[in-house]
Amino acid sequence: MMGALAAPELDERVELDEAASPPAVWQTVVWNDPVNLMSYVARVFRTYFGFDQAKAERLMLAVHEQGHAVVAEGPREQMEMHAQAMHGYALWATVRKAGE
Amino acid sequence: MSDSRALILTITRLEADYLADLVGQFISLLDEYSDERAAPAAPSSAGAGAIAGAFGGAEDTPEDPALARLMPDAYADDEEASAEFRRHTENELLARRIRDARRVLGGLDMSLNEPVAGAVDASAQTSADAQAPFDVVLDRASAEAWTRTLAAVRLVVASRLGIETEADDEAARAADDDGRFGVYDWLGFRLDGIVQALDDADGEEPDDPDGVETHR
Repeated sequence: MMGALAAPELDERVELDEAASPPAVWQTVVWNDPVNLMSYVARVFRTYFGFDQAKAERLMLAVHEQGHAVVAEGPREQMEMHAQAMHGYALWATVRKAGE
Repeated sequence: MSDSRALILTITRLEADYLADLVGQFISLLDEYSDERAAPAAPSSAGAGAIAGAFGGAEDTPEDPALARLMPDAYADDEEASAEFRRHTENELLARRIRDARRVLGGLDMSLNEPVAGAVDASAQTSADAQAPFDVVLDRASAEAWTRTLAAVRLVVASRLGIETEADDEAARAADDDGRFGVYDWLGFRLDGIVQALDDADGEEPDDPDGVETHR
């Protein structure tokens, strides 16, 4: 279970490294809450970020089981844009510098 | 699911009335907050913030916990960055929420006023009418507005019920004596139904423009 949950972050880094390597890496973090439905959160991850079903489910479960998950990494402005979008979906999201 | 595909949500008149009432209250909550924030900043406010407030959003976390949850601080440990973020995003977020919610109300209103096939006496308001099912047709954009709105309204209801952790949920549920949990669970049931129907529609072949997903 833990191994499976750790996987999405690794996938994420590989993909982002291929796309671009920004000077300072920021993250959009989605936090667990007792209200939002698992099906809804997975759908938001799938439709907004374009993740496939398996990845969306893994991230949703990571949020649920571990309390939070990094859903995106990259330039600060882009991470803020993602956080704003997550707020629009009623998800609890924050922005932070990677490694904090 | 392309835009031409529709999702049909079948609900009762009673549910529709109740939902319209809840969504109406939700819009009022956002409108009031929006007006409050638009009011001129107190002269004691710091110069730059007060000026920015005149054309941008507010900086402080809303006092109402429900609103604070709908528009949370974007930086956990950086008040200044959170204020900056809020100033640039809050108005847009509020406007979109209100737009979404009005779209839900509009859809309910249109469906409620549609003449019911086979109805003989529109004036007969019996309890049977309240249970009478009717269809709300949602195109892709409407369905997204519905899911965002139901999720947001559910957050407000949860906040009013005092649900902040999963333990709160159980405690509040056990102590529930006025049926408010019924509303909360029902919103979840309807939201989940729409999400499942949308997921199912996404998983299908896209070359059937007349296809209709039904959720009952």
